[in-house]
Amino acid sequence: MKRLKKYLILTEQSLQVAMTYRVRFFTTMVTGLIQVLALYYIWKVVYAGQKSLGGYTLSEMVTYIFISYAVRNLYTFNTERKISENIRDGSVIIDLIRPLNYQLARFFESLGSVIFEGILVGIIVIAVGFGIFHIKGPASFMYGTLFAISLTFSVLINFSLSYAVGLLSFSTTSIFGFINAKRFISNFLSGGLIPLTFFPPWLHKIAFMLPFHAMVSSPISIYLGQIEAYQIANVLLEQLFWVIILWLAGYFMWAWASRKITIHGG
Amino acid sequence: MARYIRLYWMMWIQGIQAQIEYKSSFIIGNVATILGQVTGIALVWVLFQKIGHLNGWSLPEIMLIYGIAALPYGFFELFFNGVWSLNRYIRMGDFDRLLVRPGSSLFFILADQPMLHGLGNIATGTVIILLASRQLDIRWDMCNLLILGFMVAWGTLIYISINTITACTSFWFVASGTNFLYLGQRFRDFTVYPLDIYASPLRILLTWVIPFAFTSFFPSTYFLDRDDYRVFVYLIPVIAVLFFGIASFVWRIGVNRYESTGS
Repeated sequence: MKRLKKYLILTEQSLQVAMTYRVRFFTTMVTGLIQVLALYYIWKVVYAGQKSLGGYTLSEMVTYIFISYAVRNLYTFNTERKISENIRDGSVIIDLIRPLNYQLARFFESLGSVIFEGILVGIIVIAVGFGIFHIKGPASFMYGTLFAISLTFSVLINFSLSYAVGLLSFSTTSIFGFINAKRFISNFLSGGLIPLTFFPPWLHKIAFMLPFHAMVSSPISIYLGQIEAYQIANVLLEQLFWVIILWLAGYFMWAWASRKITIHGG
Repeated sequence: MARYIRLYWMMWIQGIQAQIEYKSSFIIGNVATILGQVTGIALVWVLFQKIGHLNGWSLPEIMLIYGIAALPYGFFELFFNGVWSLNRYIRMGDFDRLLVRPGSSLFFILADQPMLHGLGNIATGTVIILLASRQLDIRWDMCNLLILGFMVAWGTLIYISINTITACTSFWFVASGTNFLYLGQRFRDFTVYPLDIYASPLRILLTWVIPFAFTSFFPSTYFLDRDDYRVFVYLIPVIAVLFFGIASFVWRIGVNRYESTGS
């Protein structure tokens, strides 16, 4: 318990830092609304004269894009950037002498921006969705609760991926290319922009072999009640599987990377 | 003018040489931009597996718009990406250095940081255009190429103008970082698709206020023989020059407002 408190201080600190950038918060929000609006218009035209596509009606699809945006918004890209900056400017050595697990510390640190930018902006965008675009609520109270659990897993999966990408800074100077590549691939293969049911079978198969679908597609299909109750456990277990695998991958990468650190001068 | 071109060329070569030093960075940066373009067009392709047309536009037609949109964007990144570093210059107090140089400060900031990954956008855009043209029977003879070249050049100027205006917000809100630039760029995302799928307030916005439509959609209509948009094609240079004028004006106000950091 006392150990958890130490980590929560990191969250509190990063939350305070995030809160000082109010203009940034505003632009993030407007950017979000614009992106959702763009998708809304495209889908509206796509559905002209069609009742259902890929198993979605238009109103389900509108719900999909709003919830998908809120979910993706939880993935702050500060995690990679902060880790790579710490490595480049050498301040990572301060973290090395701290009596904290590096990976856990970064996780709790990233929670600060997740709470402020992620959850707050998400709530505003969702409120606009309910108010103006009449999106649907979760299929039932139980589905809503399970959606929240699934969302937690998806934040963990994204963090683990970002952490691994950030650690690449130990061996490359081109971290921004990697960050962008990860963003493009995960937006595409997670079902973030278009539901995976639209994919042709071979691409659908590939998407389900990779962890990305567990980040967006899984929580949303629970939210929309597309998964039978008895199968939800499978979906959550699969997410948990990816959390463990990716967390371990990050753990071993750190073990490998921290041995590579050479401290210059002194 | 000739002096600026020579100077620009020297600065550009210098900036590029600095980047080529990091070979893996060059490769990965370009792989990432190519991935961005490919996943973007792949989404449209996936969609077209379920529908026959988008508001009357066929897949190759949309590919043409998408491909043409990538060109001025790529050229902007490759040659004039420096406005993205304006915020850093102001925050670090380095902007003073640009002000004492003999010449336009806007020129020096634009030439500051060419990004080689613009090549990825240009290359992918070209391939997508070629794929689309094969199905649309568009012949790239000398005349068409020349017209496209002009359109891309004007489009690049529109990118310069919009991004300069959004970057200028740093003179007022230093803490906003490059967020306003990023926000402005998001309006670009609309214009890789046909403009007429949007409601009219959005169409007006993308045509007259944040005129990205002149960098992608309107140029494409020329090659698609859509005569109903011809007047907008003629307006491309007018809009480009007009917005560059506005950008220079905003830049001047911003610079006048600039008070260096303390210390």
